[in-house]
Amino acid sequence: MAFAKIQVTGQIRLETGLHIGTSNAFAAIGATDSPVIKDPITNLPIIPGSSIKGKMRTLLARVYNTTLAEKPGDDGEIISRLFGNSSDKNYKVGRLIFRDAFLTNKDDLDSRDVKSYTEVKFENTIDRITAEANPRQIERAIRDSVFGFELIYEVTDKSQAQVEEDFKVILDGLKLLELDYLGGSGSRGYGKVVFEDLKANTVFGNYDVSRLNELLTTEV
Amino acid sequence: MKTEYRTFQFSLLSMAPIHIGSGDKYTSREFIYENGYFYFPDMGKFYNRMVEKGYDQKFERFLQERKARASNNRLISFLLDNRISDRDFGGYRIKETGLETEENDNDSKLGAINEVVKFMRDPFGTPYIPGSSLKGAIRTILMNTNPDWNNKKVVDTRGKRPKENKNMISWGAKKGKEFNDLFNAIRVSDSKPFSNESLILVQKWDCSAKSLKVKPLPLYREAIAPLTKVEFTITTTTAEAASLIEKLEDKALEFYKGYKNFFLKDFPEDKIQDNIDYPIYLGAGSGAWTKTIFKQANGIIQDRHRKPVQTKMKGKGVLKLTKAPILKQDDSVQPSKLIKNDESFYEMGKANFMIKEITK
Repeated sequence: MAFAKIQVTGQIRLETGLHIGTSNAFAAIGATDSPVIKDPITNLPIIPGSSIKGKMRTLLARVYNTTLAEKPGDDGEIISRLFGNSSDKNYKVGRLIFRDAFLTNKDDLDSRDVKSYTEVKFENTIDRITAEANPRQIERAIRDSVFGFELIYEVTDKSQAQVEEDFKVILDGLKLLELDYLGGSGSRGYGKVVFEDLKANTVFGNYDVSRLNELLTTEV
Repeated sequence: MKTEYRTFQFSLLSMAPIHIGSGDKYTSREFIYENGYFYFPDMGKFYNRMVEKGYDQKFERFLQERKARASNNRLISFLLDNRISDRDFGGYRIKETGLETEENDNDSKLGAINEVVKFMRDPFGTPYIPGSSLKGAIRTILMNTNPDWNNKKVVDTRGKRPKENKNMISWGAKKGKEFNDLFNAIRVSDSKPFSNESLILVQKWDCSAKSLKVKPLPLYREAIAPLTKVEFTITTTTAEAASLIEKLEDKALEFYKGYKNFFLKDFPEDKIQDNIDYPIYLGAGSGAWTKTIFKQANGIIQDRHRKPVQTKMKGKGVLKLTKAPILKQDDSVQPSKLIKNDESFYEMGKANFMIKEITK
């Protein structure tokens, strides 16, 4: 029986400020009304695995679904086997595990004299009839932050023949993410990310990843 | 939904000073005017140094006191009074243009300016233009020129005062309906950061339509100097959005023509600048008519300013100008002068752009 776990590691670098929002229940008056999600222990911004997974899935669904899926349960086989599908008994659990990404270049940022790892961006809406401004404050993880990206792919008897095909899909997903945005307010410039130093590594069992690494280095 | 990503390069050329505010300002106690430069120190670093030197209590007293002469309330006077010669407090310098002060200013010394509104900066202290600012300006052009939108009634008269009907252009997710959000499909990037050397300090000047007199106001802004180039990328994800961006240059001309006929024609020719490429107005101080659907906003904006009397808007209001050095064009751009007057007056916020698709 073939069973292996392939780990894909890399870095997510922010080209523009990233906003993955969280609850603002306790925001003070006049303070940031839209905070970003942070690690409760270090208080540094994080990128939750769920955000990467969700965004990648919808982006891939536009490419790999043959028919328009009205809900995630309608996704085609290629998406379902990677991301899971609760209404398909073959793919209740997908082959991918996304990890939360933590900030890794804190020291580098410190050396560049940043005061905080998040910035507060002031914006406003201008009413196009009265020209009245309605200001807001949005927190963003700062540009040039680097997050550790980790993805686990599971090889089983069933998936053994499809590994390369699956990796092409994963790569397309990462490429689409670079062309699109991660997190909120992307249509006004937020959340442009770049994936760097992608590497595949067999962490359990036996699987030769040299082909996969070729793919990873050439395509992204 | 069909997805087709197309990327455009949007090259902005500032024709006049442009100010994008960060929502914050420097008080007169936060910068030093010296040797032809305005020096904005990192005030955290500055204070730490004062603590090291044992001047912290004196500095705190300086911050609280208010001396009769404005020039004694500036950071430079604190440094001189205490014979502090250090100037390495981080931060950055902006070269003076010589046009910052008001005419007939009693305090003849240059640098006698009070508060300065800060330009937008990234966390590393470098200025940039956020995509949200450019997107708003593009949206104004599109809304003013698209017959589907500017002919319809945009005014929402429910409520106390008329305002914009924000649901005229469909946006956001609606239950049971297919997602249709045109302006989500137009994605405008933040600009690349540019250097502090591109910034100058400019003052606000108002030109009245009636008397045609130009008068200075005590408002100073950090602004991009004329003839600075700034690059953006715009990504569109649907065919409809792409067609709008493809037509943006023509739309900008159409908007400008309307704006000129509606407002600019009331003012002396020599205060209005010609275009090199396609016109757009960006950022603070360019005036309400560059921010609104002006034909429908006319009347409503004036109404809003009816009280108090000081800010009452007469007619269509004043033309907002600013002074900056007359710069000769670089070689790539004709003709040789940006402005038509010899008093260094520019239209605040005026910029030109060109757009082209990046084929890859």
